[in-house]
Amino acid sequence: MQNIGGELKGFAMSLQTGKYNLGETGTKLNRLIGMGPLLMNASQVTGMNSSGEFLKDEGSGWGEYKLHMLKVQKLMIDAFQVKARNKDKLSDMSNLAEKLGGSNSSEND
Amino acid sequence: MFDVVADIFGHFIDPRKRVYVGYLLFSVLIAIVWLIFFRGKSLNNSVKILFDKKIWLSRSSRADFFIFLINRCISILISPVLITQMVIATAIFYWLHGITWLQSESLQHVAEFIIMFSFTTFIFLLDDFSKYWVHRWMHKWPVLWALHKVHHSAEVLTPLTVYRTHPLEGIVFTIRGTFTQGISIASFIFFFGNSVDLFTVLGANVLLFLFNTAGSNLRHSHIGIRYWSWLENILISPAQHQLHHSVDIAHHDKNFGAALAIWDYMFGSLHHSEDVESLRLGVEEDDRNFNKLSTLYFSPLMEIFYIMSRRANTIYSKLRSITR
Ligand SMILES: [Zn+2]
Ligand SMILES: [Zn+2]
Repeated sequence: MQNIGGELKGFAMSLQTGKYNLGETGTKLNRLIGMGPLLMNASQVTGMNSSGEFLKDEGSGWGEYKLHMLKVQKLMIDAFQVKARNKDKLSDMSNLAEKLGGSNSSEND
Repeated sequence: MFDVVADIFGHFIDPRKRVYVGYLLFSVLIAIVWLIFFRGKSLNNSVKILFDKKIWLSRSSRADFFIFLINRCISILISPVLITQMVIATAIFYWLHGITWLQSESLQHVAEFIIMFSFTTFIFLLDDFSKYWVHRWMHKWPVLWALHKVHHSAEVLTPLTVYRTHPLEGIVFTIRGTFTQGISIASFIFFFGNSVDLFTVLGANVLLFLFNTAGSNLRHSHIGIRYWSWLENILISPAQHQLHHSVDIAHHDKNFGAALAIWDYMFGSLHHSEDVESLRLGVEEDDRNFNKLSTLYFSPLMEIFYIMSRRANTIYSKLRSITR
């Protein structure tokens, strides 16, 4: 998780320093991802002091962090029309929904 | 043009719908076997009874057919406007992630077979349970009863009566379906991860498939098949649902269940079947002609408007007596 989160921060930074202006999507990404991943002791890097040491703080907790990751996933899908969605939970859900065949039922008893 | 026709009649070739031709065929077979072996009729007579012109060409069942056509068109037009189960599922999914003491995918190592079995059963039970309660409210609340009366105004029952529904009632049903599917999908993916799947036959939930092949279409027919008394505590028999349509006051507000009778049993609305041949079906309380399409579609709206304005009046006069 730590590695993935770290890579995610790097990925988001490279997106924003690329040639396209992300505008609002960039702001949202930064807010959701934070300065870096949530660490195993549920703390998160929040900044850097004058001598160059990382400052850590109580993170938002794993539940909320996962929720943020999900929202990042959705944001990326919406903003960049992501096609390859390997472990995408939302597509699992819409596959299931399709299988159930829609909720539009006019059958009456 | 072909697409529209295919859309309208698509339910007859969709095994997820009750009027799928396969299910209709099974219902015919079950009815004939029952008439021969339990009523002592000849094959010839059984077929005659089953396809009785007096039933199939009656005013009531002709109205059913036109309501089916009109409602299918309405439903095709408005379905893009209605929210989908995915909206609800996504919202619930996010909400579950926000609850700190719940661990997502905490059950993902459970055997796949068990996950599928649980999901298939859960969604069938939740669907049937919510149908029971929505149906019960349809009878209890005057505004909803004004709509549901359209279904009960059928004087004879044929499998198409399942579509004898006011469009506004159809919207209530769709909202119910949206929530049950959204809740099931979101909670199962949250706890079990991506191995959640449905056991299906011909693409339909296997339990729904069994219910439908067991003659579900006969509940809306004149074939009064009764089950053993113990079984009628578990499954709603055709005769039990026909009794739900009876005008007799003793039969009012009984047997709200769709597939299962256990909800009626649990919540005190179960009525065992009777010999239904003598039953009179329909709604007795008013003298509107419910076989006229304009009456079927517009008079419930007027009735609702009347109920609402009467309520507004009562509230207004109460307020006045307080402020005076
Ligand atoms: Zn009915
Ligand atoms: Zn009813």
